[in-house]
Amino acid sequence: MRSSRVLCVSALLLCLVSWGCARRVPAADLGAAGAEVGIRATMKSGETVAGRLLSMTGDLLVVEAIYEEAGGAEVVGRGSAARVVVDGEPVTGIVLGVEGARGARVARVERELPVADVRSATFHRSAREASLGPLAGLALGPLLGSLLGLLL
Amino acid sequence: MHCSAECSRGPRVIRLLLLVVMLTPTFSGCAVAPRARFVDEAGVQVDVQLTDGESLRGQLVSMDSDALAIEHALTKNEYTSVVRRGGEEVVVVAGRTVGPAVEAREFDIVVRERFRHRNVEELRFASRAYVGWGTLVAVGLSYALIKVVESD
Repeated sequence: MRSSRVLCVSALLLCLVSWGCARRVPAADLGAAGAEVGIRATMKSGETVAGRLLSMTGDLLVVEAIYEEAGGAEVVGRGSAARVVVDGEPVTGIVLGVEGARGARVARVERELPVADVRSATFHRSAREASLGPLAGLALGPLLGSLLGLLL
Repeated sequence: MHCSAECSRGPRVIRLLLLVVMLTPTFSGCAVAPRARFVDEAGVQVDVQLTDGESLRGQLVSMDSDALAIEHALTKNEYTSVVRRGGEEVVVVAGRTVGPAVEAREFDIVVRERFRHRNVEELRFASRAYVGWGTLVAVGLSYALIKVVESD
């Protein structure tokens, strides 16, 4: 009975540790893998694009750009026919969705940005992962050590 | 009936697991509380494979149309030095200028190095990196603490 209990707890500990271990996602597959990497890019044209990085190669960045009406963007239309206009210029790309009430709507647009047109860009970690990381580490360590101490 | 130490551990383990199960939603709630989706500070952990066969792990901070800027650690040795040029401290390895020094630590130096896009073979982003060396230290300390309490 003791050995089966140790086996069960060991399996649970292995699951907990595996859940907390990092995944290494290829830059070209970030969106498909569900990885959350933020990007804030300033183009050579002066345009600023911010959102989630979906894919990155040496030639092309694919970004799920976020445009907020509260931030000055204009969202025209609804659903798949929606268009986003910033400073009078329509934003090129595929509108993935529009959320929120009129006046505070947020549009997500998939945009392809040639690397050659990027003046500068910074990369940012997910806020959810950044806040959960220390908490998970804080909880997992004492939990694993305590369980091992009680069982062994 | 006399209860051995083993059967008294079972309820304690169950209580501990129940505590973790109750705390996990609380931690998850804290993790999703941030208003912003991504942190303001730039830097995402990446693994880089270069075309010359070299590989390294560091923080992808920024990029432009020519290159990626990655902060990584270089071990201090007789070939590594930090010199002052143009008002900033620069790391030099075997006579080759690597890049500006970000942080000088006891055994290594963190340097921000530029890697041209054409020299990068593969780039992988780290996602969900919750468990690290601190977690292992906490496991050891908790295990030792449990043993000390039980012996008293």
